Amino acid sequence: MTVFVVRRLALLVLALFLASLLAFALLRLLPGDAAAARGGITADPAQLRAIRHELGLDRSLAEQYRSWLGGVLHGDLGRSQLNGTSVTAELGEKLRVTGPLVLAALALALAGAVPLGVLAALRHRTRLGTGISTVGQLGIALPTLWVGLLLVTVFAVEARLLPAQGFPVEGWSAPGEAARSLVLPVVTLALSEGAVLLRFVRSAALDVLGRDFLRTARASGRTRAGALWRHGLRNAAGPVLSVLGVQVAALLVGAVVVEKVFALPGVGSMLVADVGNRDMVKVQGEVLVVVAVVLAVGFLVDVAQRLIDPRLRETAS
Amino acid sequence: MTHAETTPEVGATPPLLQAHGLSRSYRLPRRSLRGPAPVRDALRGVDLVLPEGGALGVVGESGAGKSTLLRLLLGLDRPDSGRVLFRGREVRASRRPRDLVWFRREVQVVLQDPMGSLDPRARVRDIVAEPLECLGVDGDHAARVVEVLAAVGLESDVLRRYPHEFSGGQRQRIAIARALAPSPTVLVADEPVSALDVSVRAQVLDLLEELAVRLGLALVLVSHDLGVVQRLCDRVLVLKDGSVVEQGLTGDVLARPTHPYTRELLDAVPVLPGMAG
Amino acid sequence: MTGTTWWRALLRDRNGLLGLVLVGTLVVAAGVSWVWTPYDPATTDLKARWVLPLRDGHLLGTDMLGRDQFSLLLAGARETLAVAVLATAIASVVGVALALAATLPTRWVSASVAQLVDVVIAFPALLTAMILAAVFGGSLWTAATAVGIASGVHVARVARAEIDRVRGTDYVLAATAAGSGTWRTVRRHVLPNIASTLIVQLSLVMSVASLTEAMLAYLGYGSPAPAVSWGRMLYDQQPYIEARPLLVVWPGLAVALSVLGFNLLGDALRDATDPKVRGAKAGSGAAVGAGSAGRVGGGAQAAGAAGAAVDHSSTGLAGDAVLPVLDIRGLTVRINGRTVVDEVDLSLAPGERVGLIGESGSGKSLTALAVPGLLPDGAEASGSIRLAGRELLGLRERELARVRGDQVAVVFQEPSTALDPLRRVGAQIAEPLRLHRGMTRRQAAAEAVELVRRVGLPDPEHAVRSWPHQLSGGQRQRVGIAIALACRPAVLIADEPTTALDVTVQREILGLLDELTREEETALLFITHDLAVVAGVADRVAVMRGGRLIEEGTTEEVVRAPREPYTKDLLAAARATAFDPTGNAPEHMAVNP
Repeated sequence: MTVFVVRRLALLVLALFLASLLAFALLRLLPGDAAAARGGITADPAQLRAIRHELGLDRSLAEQYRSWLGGVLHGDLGRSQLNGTSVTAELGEKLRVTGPLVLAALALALAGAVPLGVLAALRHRTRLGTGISTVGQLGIALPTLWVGLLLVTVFAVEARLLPAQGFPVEGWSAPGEAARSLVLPVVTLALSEGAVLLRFVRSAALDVLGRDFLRTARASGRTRAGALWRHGLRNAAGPVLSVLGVQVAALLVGAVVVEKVFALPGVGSMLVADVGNRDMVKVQGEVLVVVAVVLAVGFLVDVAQRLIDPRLRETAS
Repeated sequence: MTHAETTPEVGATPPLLQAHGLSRSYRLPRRSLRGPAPVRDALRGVDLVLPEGGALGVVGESGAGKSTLLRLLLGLDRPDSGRVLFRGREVRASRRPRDLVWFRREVQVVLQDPMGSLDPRARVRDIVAEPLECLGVDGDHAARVVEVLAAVGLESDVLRRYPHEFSGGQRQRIAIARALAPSPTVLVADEPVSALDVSVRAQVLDLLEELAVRLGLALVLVSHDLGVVQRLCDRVLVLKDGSVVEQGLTGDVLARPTHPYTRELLDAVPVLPGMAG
Repeated sequence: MTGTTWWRALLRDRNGLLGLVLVGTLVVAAGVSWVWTPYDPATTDLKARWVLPLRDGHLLGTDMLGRDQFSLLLAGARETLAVAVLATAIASVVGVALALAATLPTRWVSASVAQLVDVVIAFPALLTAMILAAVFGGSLWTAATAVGIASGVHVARVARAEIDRVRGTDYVLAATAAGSGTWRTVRRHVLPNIASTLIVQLSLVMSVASLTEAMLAYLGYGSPAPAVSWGRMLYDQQPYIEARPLLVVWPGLAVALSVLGFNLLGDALRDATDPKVRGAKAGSGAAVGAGSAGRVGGGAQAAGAAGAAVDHSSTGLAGDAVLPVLDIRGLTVRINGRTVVDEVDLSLAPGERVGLIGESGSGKSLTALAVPGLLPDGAEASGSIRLAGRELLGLRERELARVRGDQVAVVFQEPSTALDPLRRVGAQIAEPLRLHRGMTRRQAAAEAVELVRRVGLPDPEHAVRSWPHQLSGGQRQRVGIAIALACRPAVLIADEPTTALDVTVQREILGLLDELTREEETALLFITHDLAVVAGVADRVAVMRGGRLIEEGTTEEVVRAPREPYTKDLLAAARATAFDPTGNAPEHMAVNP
């Protein structure tokens, strides 16, 4: 197990390094002169040179990458090329919206998908079972942003139960209002994500239901549902966890769209705005953070798999 | 077992298929960062000889190294040390299939699980024609396919069907037909009947026996079933933990085993009342 | 059944047909919009703003700029379809190339490719697409490239796992032994067998591409103005959602139905291209499976009259005074309307050992598994099964569970899969004790050690702490026996308990079963295909064939003087292949040339 964690950690570091290279390279594609954008049309060549120097744009690419990476290693993602604000600080602030949104949506999606998926598997030959999986199938097909718009129409516009858009200016210092404004976004994201998870939970549970050891558990005196609960869930957790690792990326993408639909001041909205402003350093930092989160979750999933399964624990690869 | 039995006689024509001191080990997954990765010796210094038209039974329980030996004998894997010779020519596993065409025309295989050994997406016609195509055998392939299918007792109406449409015994007949297609001199069979029902088992064994006699095929039969070996093989080799513990004429070994493991193996076989007396 | 082509199978599949219709509609809409739309989708007409559906020739009404919604929907199909098709093309090229590279024999190449795939997979397609769009200007190419590459690495991962699976199969081994080279094997065996998985993956790429296209257009990174996109329509209409909620319904519905179509079509194509599933769905080929194992043996078996009547007179117990502990009467099991067990009568006296013999498809296992209510899903049993006088058939799962493991227990065939791989052996042995005896965790654990000792595992204290995969097959079967006998059941069903084991281990396990059931006077129902094995274990033998019980008697009677022709043939076949300790090698083979 230690061998595995050490190796996997080394791979994670390598992956993060590669990701930083890719993020850096991807953003060098952006055309436009950040110095010109910052200086405005009135800047003369000398001022532009000064700005370029200040932003480090007059140095070689390798040097730029090295100094950026050096900053990143110290937790400094650089400064905005447009207004000079610290990227790290701004991300931290926006995460106060995106973090609760994503985590709550994930929790809600799991809370719905696991019991429904298990039920659909247990009753897969009945109307209830096929009904649940059909609804899941439909749910996967619905675009997140459309679900968001429909929910707004029903709950905010027609019923006027919840705010349609926005987030209180005071942020979490107005906790009730902040929470209320996150309800619809969370539900939107959870519905899209939950439909995907439901499908995988169902197929993992169905697979486990057909396994011999479940029959052994039933032969020992468990009911079908009891055996699935007691032995099946742990066995189904492996494949579902793998899917969860992959779905984190989808969840973050979903957050970008949902924040836009509900006009939430989160990381997603920030990213969309920064790409639009061609703010290279900010986008670079944001992309790296998103990718790092996905990679780190992948690492955690791999370790969790081994904690669950003693057979995996004994192999290093 | 005497060593003299397995060493080639100098000057005589080399035996059909022989193996010298075959050893093969596999690396196991690491459990700790220190020290070398653990190793399992699957095979340690195995010698064997198969004469022209002979039938050699390889007997052993799971983990004895039967499948490793089989892979080495078929040129599918390289031994760590030792050699496999066919008519005195060395058989070396190679990535280029061309290098072993001469050998594969002579030595063909039938595997244990007749469902797993036939490609579920291929039609019977293509399955049986596969060695003809791969080995560049001359002649009318379609006619040869019908011929070998007839030899194993299948009509030509099976040509366009898929493996899942057949029963276990029929599938094993298809696998045998595939092996016979390039007219080999040696048939290597890995537990050819252990996945089959009793009544079907007898028929497939009858078929193998009849083919061996009629076509003058030499057989290497890997099996855990002493009844099957007793029925088909004139010589037998007992494997345990990768080593040969005993080999000799089937009658001698089974009637007067010298190694305690062979004796244990013989005692363990359940016997039908009415056979023993 | 060989006439069932894949497209016919597709048309027969209800979901496939729906998927085909939805995707077909998308394609037709895209095609038609090239040459004709009711109105020009790009033209604004401020005089015709906010027209309601079905008014003034506007099927779905108009928006704030007076654009005809139906025309916009038709034209939007083009963008969705183009991005989906392009992205899928890119994904399949990237995916298959990477997957093949990752399986190359050169270790460092495959390792680096796998590592690169793991990193690229972490870049969400939407982000890449946004950045690409910011650089090159939004177009269907930026969307398709980003989705294609991001999905391509996913496809590569899945394809690689599939390639590894297929390369480990016996048919690839057989092909190599038949002289097939690497590329030929890939073309002839690997690709056809991973095709179904690839089809599903590529249909998913189409869905992801359609959804991403809509998101990009909504975020403002889609194709610029003259191009029409459903995502853009949603963006345009969001501000007016209060006044005209219906206007956001159409484009969203269009995206959803397209994605649904891709998903349904993908799943149906997977089934339709698999000859096995195709045959089963066509309702023909599948029948060959169960009942026909004896088809080749037709000659030998033809003698046994198909519907051999059971002689009920011998079903009675030897000593009539003893009440049977297990009494099966007229048991019939149907699976999907097919009768697989037909009117079987069988009873066991307390402590009696009965062998149930038959070949595959004879219904012997189903007969036995019907007792504890462990039939596979979809099987229905009728008749009567009485355990110590109590009727079991018709009991609910909850009530049956109380009987299982307590009064009737089962030892299964495959020790390697019968134990939960994620639970320690001791906990699994303790399970029936905790369920039926109400023991505490501690009591049950102590009892488990005792049981492990009784089934003869070395070092019981240590053994209960081990995981199933750390034990050998024989040891696992001992654990299986310990679980089954934990609550001292009145009836033990052993379903081919030694078939998967080596002969030396088989002997030990048979000895153990014999000893333990004798000690506790447990009635034993021993299911096997091996006459030699049953002869050593059972007092009485019942022979099944084709779902019917055709002969029953003491082991001595049946083995020495069988009455039914089928039993005679079975014995003859068994003798012909059985090991004969007095026999010699066959004469004709014994001569060395």
